[in-house]
Amino acid sequence: MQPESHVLLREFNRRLRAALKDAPNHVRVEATLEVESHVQDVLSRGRGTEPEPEQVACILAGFGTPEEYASALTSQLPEAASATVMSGVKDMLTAGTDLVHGSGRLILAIGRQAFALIESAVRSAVAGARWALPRLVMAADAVRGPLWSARDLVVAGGRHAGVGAAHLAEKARAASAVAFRTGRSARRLGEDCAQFAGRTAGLAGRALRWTFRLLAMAALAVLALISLGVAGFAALAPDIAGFFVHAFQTEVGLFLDAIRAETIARYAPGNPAAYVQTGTAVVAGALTVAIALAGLLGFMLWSARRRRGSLTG
Amino acid sequence: METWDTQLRKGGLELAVLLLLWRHRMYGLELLTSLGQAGFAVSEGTIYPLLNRLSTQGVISAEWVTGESGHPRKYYRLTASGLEQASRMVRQWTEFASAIDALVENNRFSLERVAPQKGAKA
Repeated sequence: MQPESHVLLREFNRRLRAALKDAPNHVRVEATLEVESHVQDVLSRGRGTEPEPEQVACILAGFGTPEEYASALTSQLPEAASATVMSGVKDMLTAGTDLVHGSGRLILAIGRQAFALIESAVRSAVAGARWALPRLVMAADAVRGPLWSARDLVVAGGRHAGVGAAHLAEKARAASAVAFRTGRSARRLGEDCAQFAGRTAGLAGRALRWTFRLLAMAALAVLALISLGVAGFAALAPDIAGFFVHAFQTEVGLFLDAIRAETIARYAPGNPAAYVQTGTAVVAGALTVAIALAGLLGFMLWSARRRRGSLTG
Repeated sequence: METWDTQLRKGGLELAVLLLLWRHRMYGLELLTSLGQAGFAVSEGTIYPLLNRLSTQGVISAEWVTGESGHPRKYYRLTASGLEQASRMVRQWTEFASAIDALVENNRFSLERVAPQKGAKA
């Protein structure tokens, strides 16, 4: 395309875009592209004999003026939708404007009211302060004296209380020391008593032991004396000793006979042989028991003596 | 008379465009040329706004194609709803044309008396 043709086309499209400024962007773009494409299609067919710029001008004339063509294009858009949209936009703008104005007025009114309230509050506060301040000073003076007195009283009371508390603490400490000493004394007393009791028990045991020893020795001495007496009597007066021995044997024999008869009568009536057997068994059993007991006693004594030796040793 | 004729052609232009696009797609100049051959002498200022409206209504669809020409061309084709609308319009036109034809047929003798025949002396 020749430059002059380009100029004509560009100018047409420029005016067309300007006339379509309210239309959507894609409508403007499509419209200008369509015009350009149509012009190129016509030129490419090559029918005209005029110079190309005149052909382009003629083609563009078929569209009408750019403004008329733009009007035809926009009038073909769904009228209700665009009108509604524009109306809606206008309404929104109007409502927005009203809202802004109304909000501004409202904010202004609220601000004025708030300022008035604050001003009134400040004035009241100042007036109240002016009224109250002198009275507060007087009241402070009136209160100050008793306050100081109260303070002194509290301080003195505190001091006394502190002294008393210290005194009490001292007393408590002394009492606790006394209690400690008492306790210690009681402990020592207890120890002493225990020791005394122990010693006493030991002494008592020792005394008992000695008593038994003495008794045993006395018994042995008596037996020895009797034996000596008997032996001496038997040696010095054999007849009399023989008489006593005979009497003793007779008595013992009678005693044993009595026992034997009683035993036979009780355990083996009419069977003297059984008596001998039974008597032998009884005697043997008694001897066995006696020997066993003696052995046990001796063992216990020996073990006790051994244990005492290990404790004290 | 001119106004009635203009209105008649304007009224039939939309149907003519839909009928031309019935078979295959066409671009703007092609449509203009075909309409001119069919007796509809319309300008660019008329056909392109009409095509834009039909495209907005969904009767036709448009697509830019860069082909052998070297520059992009906007091709138009009928949509499915466009086919239905064209069919409906054809039916309506047929009924309308039949009605007019019937009226013309009924008044033929009257019309022949009013309109001079070729070669007939006044």
